[in-house]
Amino acid sequence: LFQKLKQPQNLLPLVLLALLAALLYFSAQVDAELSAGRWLYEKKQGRFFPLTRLLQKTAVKVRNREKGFVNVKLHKPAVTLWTSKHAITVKHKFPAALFHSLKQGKMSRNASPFIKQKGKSQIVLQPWIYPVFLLLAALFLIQKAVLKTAVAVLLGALLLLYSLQVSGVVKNRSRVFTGYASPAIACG
Amino acid sequence: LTFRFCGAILKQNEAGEKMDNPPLENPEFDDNAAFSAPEAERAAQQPVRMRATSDMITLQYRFKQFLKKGGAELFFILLSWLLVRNLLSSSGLLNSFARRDSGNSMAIPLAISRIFHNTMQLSAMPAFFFSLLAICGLFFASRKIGSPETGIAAAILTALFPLFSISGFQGFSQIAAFALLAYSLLFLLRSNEGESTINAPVSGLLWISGLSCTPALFPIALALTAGALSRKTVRKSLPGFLIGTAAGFLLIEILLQSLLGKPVFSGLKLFFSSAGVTGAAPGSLFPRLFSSPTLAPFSLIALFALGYTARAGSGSFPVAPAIIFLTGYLLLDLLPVRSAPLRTLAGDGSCLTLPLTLLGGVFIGNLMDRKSLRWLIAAITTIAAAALLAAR
Repeated sequence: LFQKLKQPQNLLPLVLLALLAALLYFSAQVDAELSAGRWLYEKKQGRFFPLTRLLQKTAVKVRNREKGFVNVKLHKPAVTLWTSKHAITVKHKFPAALFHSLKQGKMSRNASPFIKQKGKSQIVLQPWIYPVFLLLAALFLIQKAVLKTAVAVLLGALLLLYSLQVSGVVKNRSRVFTGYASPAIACG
Repeated sequence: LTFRFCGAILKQNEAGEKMDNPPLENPEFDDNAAFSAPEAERAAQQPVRMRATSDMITLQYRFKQFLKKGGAELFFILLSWLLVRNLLSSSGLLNSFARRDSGNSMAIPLAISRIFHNTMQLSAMPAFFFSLLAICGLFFASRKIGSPETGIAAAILTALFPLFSISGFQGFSQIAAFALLAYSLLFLLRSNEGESTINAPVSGLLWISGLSCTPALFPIALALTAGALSRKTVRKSLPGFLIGTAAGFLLIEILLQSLLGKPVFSGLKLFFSSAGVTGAAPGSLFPRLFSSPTLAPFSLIALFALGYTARAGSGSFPVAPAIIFLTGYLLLDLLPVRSAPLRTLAGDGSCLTLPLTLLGGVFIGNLMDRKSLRWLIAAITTIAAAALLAAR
């Protein structure tokens, strides 16, 4: 398999795939902000002891969570300490934001990066969906095998993100429109 | 298997012996006299070509052939479907059986519910297995319509079709109907092969069982079956299909009356009484086909598919299936509720899972080669795995 993957025509889609997966995974590292005046704790023998107060607002990276406390790595000074889970404001970047909104079930709200809500229930498609069809149309024209496989990788990624996002929309809309339930359920 | 293998070897030896000492029917005529000497020598050196019988084909060989004809890709599609399902459920987006599947009015869902004692946790199992069966069924049926690439593309689209995922979380009646109808289509398409006469009745049995799970899928089921029957080679299977349907109807009635204690013809009564419960206004499906986030991409792919096929020439355009699909759509969408008691699913696009994935599969299967499809599956699987790790 490795010998096959090493072939020159497989390198571009492979690099693209690795890049997309890495982008998605590493962007899911949660960035947060800790405001001034918050207590920082240190953990000794499973218990949390207050150490110091934070003098100014600072950016942190969330490492771990435990019993209402969050393990954070401060940027300046570069130390890892604990703080209350209510003390931090979490920021999610693009791909991670998608899955954060999945967790929160806020798919059809304005928070969603892909789908806008107009009025109470009307949902319109965001322009991001159109690249899927441009890529499909591109498959008509592209003759080179390397480019065709690279386009296939992009198409797969977009289709997956679309499917996840829209599944959430259906769930939220089904709360509003009972007609979304299976007819067998309605009959029962 | 051992017996079959030994039998195959014995047959092979017998055949070999026969070829070593061919009987001379007409001893006065010598075939070799027609050849020159070097040609006769070359002919003697060539290996004897034998016709393989079904006994000689081992299970291992069949499995290898299956993997070559898109089976390997199917395993990866099932893996990516599992990842997507896991992602949806573990993120709290969709909880299995947040609504209880109380489609108990229909014979088969009722029987399955009884088997699982009507518990919500246990009845998630049939939904899971019917989803797997539905993806495999659509793969096999589409592969039969076109090429292995068609099957792979249809399976990818089914695994990613949001309304298919949702159906798998909202009960098992509809997903069971998808699976049974897909296999019904497969058996009907296979009915023209060989001398086996069992395929058409089995197809009819599966068809009526699918409808027994979700009667409102009737227009789609009718359109798919009629589309398959429009092939000249399949048309002769119609009597067998009808016999299977009648047998299935009787079996379901027996199941309802004897085992589930329902009155006579209760299945038929429920079939008609269920109609119109969730029916939307006439024409409501059409705008949704091209505006709804859940349907639009797949409708557009299907539209491209029709245009792409039409571009190839009127000779290759499947006129009969297109007319039948159109009839199914008209039944679903345009007839008033009272006069069309079967268009209950017009408001819900999930009924279009089968036709949209089949049409899209044909299109994408024609457009992409096997290598591109493999990269498409690899992208879906890898990114879904990364997302699952990231969402933990």
